[in-house]
This record gives sequence, structure tokens and C-alpha cells, in this order.
Amino acid sequence: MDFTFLLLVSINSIFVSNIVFAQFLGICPYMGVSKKLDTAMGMGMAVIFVMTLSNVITYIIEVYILVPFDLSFLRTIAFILVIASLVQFVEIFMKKKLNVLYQSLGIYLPLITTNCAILGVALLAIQKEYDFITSIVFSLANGVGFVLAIALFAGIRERLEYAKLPKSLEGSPVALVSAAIISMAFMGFSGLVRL
Amino acid sequence: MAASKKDVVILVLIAAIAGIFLSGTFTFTKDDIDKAKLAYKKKGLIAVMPFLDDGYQELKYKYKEQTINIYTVSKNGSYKGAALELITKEGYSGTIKFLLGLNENQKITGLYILDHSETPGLGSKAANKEWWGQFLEKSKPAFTFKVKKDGGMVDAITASTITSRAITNAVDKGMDIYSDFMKNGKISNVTELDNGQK
Amino acid sequence: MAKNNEEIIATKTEKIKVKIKNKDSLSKIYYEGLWSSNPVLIMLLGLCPALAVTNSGINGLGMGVATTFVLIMSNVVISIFRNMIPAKMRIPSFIVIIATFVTVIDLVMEAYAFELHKSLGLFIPLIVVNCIILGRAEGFAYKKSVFLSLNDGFAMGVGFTLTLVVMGMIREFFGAGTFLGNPIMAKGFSPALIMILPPGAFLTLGYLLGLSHYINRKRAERANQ
Repeated sequence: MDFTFLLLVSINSIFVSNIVFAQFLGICPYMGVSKKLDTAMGMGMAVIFVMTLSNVITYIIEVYILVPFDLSFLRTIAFILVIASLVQFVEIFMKKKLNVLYQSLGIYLPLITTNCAILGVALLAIQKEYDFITSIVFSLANGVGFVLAIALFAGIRERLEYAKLPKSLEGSPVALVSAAIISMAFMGFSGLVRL
Repeated sequence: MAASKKDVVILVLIAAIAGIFLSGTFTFTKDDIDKAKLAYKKKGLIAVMPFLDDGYQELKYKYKEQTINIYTVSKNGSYKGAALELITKEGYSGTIKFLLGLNENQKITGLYILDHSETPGLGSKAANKEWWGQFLEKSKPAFTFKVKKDGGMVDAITASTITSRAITNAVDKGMDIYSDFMKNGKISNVTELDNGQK
Repeated sequence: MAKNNEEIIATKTEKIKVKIKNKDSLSKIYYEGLWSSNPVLIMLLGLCPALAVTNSGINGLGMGVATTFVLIMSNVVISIFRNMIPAKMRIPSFIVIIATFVTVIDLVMEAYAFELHKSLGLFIPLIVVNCIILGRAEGFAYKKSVFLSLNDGFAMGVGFTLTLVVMGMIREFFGAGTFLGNPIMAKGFSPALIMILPPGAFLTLGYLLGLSHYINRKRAERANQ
């Protein structure tokens, strides 16, 4: 097990190629949920969970079903159905067994299906031709990167509430401009990891 | 999810129809996709081998512990040159993949970057002829393939020494591989090649 | 028993009323799709592709056209079968239908527009999770007629495409000094590279949103006077 490689992949996914600020994935929920820090964290946790789990399943489907039977063109359909079903099951399971958790996270779950980050990461892991363990680490790290992005952002947005802004820029415009500045900061990480 | 059996059957039916429809589309577009991929690959080869007009032969050459993809070109029985697919992991942001074109006199005829993650506006300038043009018509040992900072003759890109160094060193290795190929590679087979292959 | 004139006129009036209602709806659909409910600027949907592939006008156009294709086709198909798709299973059904058309356009682009396909890369399959398409399927195509759904798909698609093309052209101009791939600035022009990089995307969209807010506010103020 090349732990150095796994560590590099993680650092790359969290900082250098951050899923929100560099890869442009997961923006929609990002804009909607990042208004308060605790809701942001809730969404983030749900994302980490679904992202990692769905990556495991989609990887297995790719390697054992799609590739051997030359069905790569069915990848999009297969992956999105896996993700959608997974989210359904997780929601039902949570409602019954982990009700307390469901109360705080449950509402975010349906939103996660259309979170391009989940499908995006699943497809990226295939594209980069990572093996099983590496792709799990990859998806986990990307989830963490998402939480980092969302937490940073929520913190800033809470402060922005008190700032005096031109009326037209209030709300999503200034949120995006702030994202631009954070993205610039994250660009400072480039060259940190050589994969 | 209180869905009735009938609902599930309809969903499965929709999925089945979708599957059939997609298989049809796939079969219909398969050949054109392969053609497009080939044309894209050829674009790079044509860029580095101006003497290529139609046919080339793809070989895998073993040099030390590496296997290099080499694309050779012959016209009317005489060997014209080849393109080597080279990779360096020493780039600023990781791996850079490029094609190096050489003629029968072991002089460089072109360089074409295939893949990189270098900094846009800095390292990415390596793809411009303004930079790699300095390699044209050069060969070893007349030209030292190292950046000036390392005692060679290659001008590095301003503020992108690491990218320049990575590619230059890879070119240097590539020249060695090619000269080895010219000596030990099965050149005789290549001269039997006919125009119009591939 | 022949229909008497009153009945004939009554049915004709009814038909014309429906036609007018539809006609109203049609211009309403287009106004909404292009401006008042612009998917990106007003509804804040489809942000991922809007940010990711607008580093040039051509890329924005390509993505917009591909998305419009999927939007129209899925709207039409879902509308045709809207009475057969079970309500409890509608979201998975929509997803299968949308994913099918996404795969179609993916294959077609790979075969006939290889370079564009390479530029757009990952974001072509990601069209399937573009909230615009699922949103219109659920909110419009599942309830309305095929004709209206087709137009709605087209209108929303064009609204989306126009926004992406505008963003792409802005970023391309400031970030590379080109217009649709053709350099139009003198050699001395040093482009602001940041514009074709991620921060530039956020910045452009942020200000475009600000601009659309401004325009809407001014119109609301004028309407209230």
C-alpha cells in the first residue's frame, strides 16, 4: 500500500484541486446551504457519506459489469441510478434507525442526488484510473474538501450579513465574488503536489 | 417508497427501452468515434512530422526498462523519421506528455504537447512554437539539451524554469532513445513499408 | 342530427379561446425562459456548467446546445408519456429518460465534434444532474402538453445557452484577448489570465448576477411609480 501516494492524492483533492474552488463541482447546494455554519456542516457530512459510499458501488459496477461487457456507454445512466437509489435507501434507513441524525441531516439528502459533485467524483475516479483503495481515499478526500469549502464559505457569509453592500450585489452576487477570492487563495496551492 | 408492483414494472420497462435505444445509438456512432479519435491522434503526429502525409507505423520500443511508443514514417521505401511519445513526471504540477518528431538525420522536426497540468500563462507556454522552436533542426552532440541554468543551450521560459527543465531533460533522454532505436531498432522492416498504411 | 349554428359557433369560440390561451402561454414561456425565469441568473440552477465551461465562448455555446438538446428531448418524451409514468416512481423515471438523452448527445459529440467533446470533458455526462432539466421535467413537462413542453424546453435551453455564451465571451475576451477563438487585440494586450481560471468564473457570474438584480430592481421601482 503506497501510503505516500494516498496522502498525495488526499492533499491534492482537498487543497490543490479543491472540488468547489478548482473543479466547479457541487456549486448549487454550495450556494443554497452555506448561509449558516451548522447547516453547512450538516450538508457536508451527508455529502462525505454519500460520496464515499457511492464511489465504492460505482467502482464495482464499472470494473465488474461495464468494462467486461463493453457497456461503457451505459455508464452515465448506471452511475446516476446508483446514486439516486443510494440516497433513497440512506434516507429510509436514517429515518428508521438513526432518527436523531435524520432530524438534522435528512432534509439535505434529496438535494444530494443532483449534487454534481457526487456524480463528478465517481466519474473522475474512473477517468484517473485509480484502483479500488485509491478511489475510496479519493472520494473521501474530495468530501472533506467540500466540507472545507462549505465551512469556509459559511463563515464568511455569516459575516457578510453585517456588511454594507450595494443593494444589487447583496446575496448571491457577493457570495460568488467571495468565492472568487477564496478560489484565488486556493490557487496558491498549485505545484504543491506532483502526481 | 410505497410504490405498487405495477409502478416498478413500468420503471423497469422504461429502463429496458432506454437501454435498447442507447445500444442502437452506440452501434451507430462507434465507427465515427474511432475515426475521430484516430484523426485527433494524427493531428499531433502531423504537427511534429512535417514529412508525414499519409501512412505511419506504430511500434513499441523497449529501451532500458521503459517501453516507448514510436510512430515511424517511410516514403517510397526510404525511412523518413519518427515521432516519440515521451513522458516526464518532473513538471511543476506533475506529468507532461508530449510528442517529439525526429528525421532520419536525428534532427528534431517538431514538438507537440499532448497533456499537462502546468500553470496557465507560465508553464503552459511550453506548447508555443516561440519556445520549443529553438529545438528545431538541433541534434546531439552539437546541441546540449539542458537549460542554460544547468549549463546547456536551452532558453528556459521566463519564470517557468521547472517546466522548461522537465521538458528539456525529457527531450535529451528522447534523443538517446532515438539514436538507440536507429542503431538497434528494426529499421529494415520499416523500409519495406508502403505508403497508405493506416 | 345536424348541429345548429349556435353550437358550431360555440365550439369554434371555445377553440379560439384555447388557441389564444396557448398563444399567451407561448410568449409567456419564452419570456420566462429567456429572462424572467432565466435558469442561471434568476433560478440559480445549472451553476456548475455555467462556471466550468465558460472559459471560452465556443465552449459555452457547445454546452448550451448540448443541454438544450437534452432539455427538449426529455421534456417532449416525459410529456408524451406523462399519463403512463407512475407518480411514485416519477423521479427515477425522469432520471432514466434524461440520462438516456445525455448519453446520446455524449456519443454524438464524441463522434462528430471531438475537440469540443474533449474541452467539455466531464461536464457532458454531468448534464444529467443539471437541476434545470429535472426541474422542468417535474414542474412542467409532467403536467403540460407536448407542444408547450417542447417550447418550454427550447426557451429554457436558449436562456441557458445565451447566459453561458455571454459569460464565455466576457471571460475569453479579458482572459485571452480573443473573440470566439480569434485574437482581436494587439500584441501588446496582456490578458488577465485569471479570467479564464476558476476565480474569473466566479467573478464573472457574480457580477452578471448583480447586473440582473440591478435591472430587475429598477424595473420593479418603475412599475411601482
